[in-house]
Amino acid sequence: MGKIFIVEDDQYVSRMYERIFRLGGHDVVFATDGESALKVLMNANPLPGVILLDLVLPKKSGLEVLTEVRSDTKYDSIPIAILTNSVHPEEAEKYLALGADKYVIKMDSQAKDVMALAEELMSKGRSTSK
Amino acid sequence: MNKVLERQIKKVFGSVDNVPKDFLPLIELISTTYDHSEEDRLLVERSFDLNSKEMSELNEKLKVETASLETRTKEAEDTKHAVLNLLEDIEEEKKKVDQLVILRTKELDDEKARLLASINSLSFGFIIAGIDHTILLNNRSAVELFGFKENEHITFQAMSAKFGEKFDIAAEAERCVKSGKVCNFKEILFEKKVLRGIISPIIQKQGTELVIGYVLLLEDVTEARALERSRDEFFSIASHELRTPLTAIRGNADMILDMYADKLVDKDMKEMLVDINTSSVRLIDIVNDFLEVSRLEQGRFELKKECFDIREVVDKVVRDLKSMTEQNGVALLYIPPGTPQPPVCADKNRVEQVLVNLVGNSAKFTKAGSITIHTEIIGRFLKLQVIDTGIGISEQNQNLLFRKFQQAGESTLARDVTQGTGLGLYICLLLISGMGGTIGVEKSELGKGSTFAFSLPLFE
Repeated sequence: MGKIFIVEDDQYVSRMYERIFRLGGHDVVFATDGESALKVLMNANPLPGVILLDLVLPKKSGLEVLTEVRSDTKYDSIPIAILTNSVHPEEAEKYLALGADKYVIKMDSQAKDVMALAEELMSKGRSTSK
Repeated sequence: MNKVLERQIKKVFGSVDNVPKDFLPLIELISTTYDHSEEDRLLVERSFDLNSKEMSELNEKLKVETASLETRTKEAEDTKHAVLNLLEDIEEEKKKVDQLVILRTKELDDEKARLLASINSLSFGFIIAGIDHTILLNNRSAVELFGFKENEHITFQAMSAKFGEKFDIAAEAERCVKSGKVCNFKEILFEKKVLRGIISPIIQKQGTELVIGYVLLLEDVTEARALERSRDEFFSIASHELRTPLTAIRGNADMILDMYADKLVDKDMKEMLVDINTSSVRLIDIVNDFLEVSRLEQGRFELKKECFDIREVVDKVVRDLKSMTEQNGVALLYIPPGTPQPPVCADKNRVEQVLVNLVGNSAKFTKAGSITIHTEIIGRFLKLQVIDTGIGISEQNQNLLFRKFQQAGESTLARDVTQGTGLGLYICLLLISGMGGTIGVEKSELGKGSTFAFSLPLFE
């Protein structure tokens, strides 16, 4: 099973996810801003099994990262879950249309549910590879 | 023989018989002459008599005539006086009326001046136009708004040209005049400004109603909009900033309770962690409610118009909450109507949110008995009731329930803060009114229970 790639700028949140994923037996890769997220992805070998992408990020936003990743066919098979505390839940559809596979509000979801979601996405892969 | 002659003969001759016979023919002649003269005298006398009678008659007549003439003259004189008096009175009245007219004109002028001053002091543009779009009155704000020169008279053509293609003022005004109803324009883009506009028909109500023109109000809301936006941005950013640390607090507390339960041997420590977890969840609810209220109040929430059967929503809510209420020994029931009900037109997820809130509230305050959901069609609306057998709400508190930060029985400061944010029902009110329905306490009795109800428009 591939690694879980977490793009999250808040160290406490990322540490929390790291903890639960490691407890769940997963390998985790991190990036704390949009630009480094794209670099990590470029150098990744093998590619991560799933990307958990925050939206509000330094340097490049989650939206930009999503757009760039989805414009490159190399990453077509990687599922992406938007993991955000955005206060605009109605924007979910916009991100799903841009190629995100899930849209989750961090604050309203328990860490174990996020892990279950990541595992599900990794095992099923992308339902509609474009 | 003539008597006078006889007396004179008797004086001369002593007796008629003594008159010598020779004188007799003469005497005879004299006697006849006498008689004739006597007759003449009588005739003359009579003639005189006659004349004097006529004269006196004429005189009488003259007197009567004179008297009548005098009366008539007097009457004429009186009439003349009366007419003169009348003329004087009229003159007097006219003066009074003139004065009144002057007074009233002044009053009207004052009134007009006050009205114009009021209109001119308004911060929004005020324009009155006739049915042919001739501008009859406009205030200074309108002049400033359009960037015309001071004292320049606004013409409809000039105004229309300023609006350009973004706002067809002629078409909109005509629509308003035709319908006879007030038309509202939330956002008119004009140059670099954002305007709010109202076109209101002027209706004359003598006999049949007739639209004789319209009032156009224009408010520059550019700054207000910017302020609103910054308030919303502040709320968004503040909420987002709060959410991130809350995610870590909740997530970590969750994980300890979940994955390290066996290591939590100290009872107090475990309780403390549970408290941290519960409080963080509550704080998350509060942040969510605050954000929701801010967005709903600003009308920045798009409510969908879906056509669906209310039964789907009720069934789902009953399924989701049944175990929760039954844990407390309270039954959650839905008695669907015998015949299917027509679909409603509303935002399905939001209706579910409201129903969850109402059932949740009932569950909080019902320790035994049941919570029953009932639906029925009333006119063009569907009414949904949530009937509980809980503690009930006093009448005075029923009115406060749907206000911000209110809970029955408590003042804002004395609220039972463990029960919620005090925003739940207020959010329900904003949502249901946004969907074109109403919501309220239908009835409630202390110790017996409460019935909350909301209505939703049917799909047409």
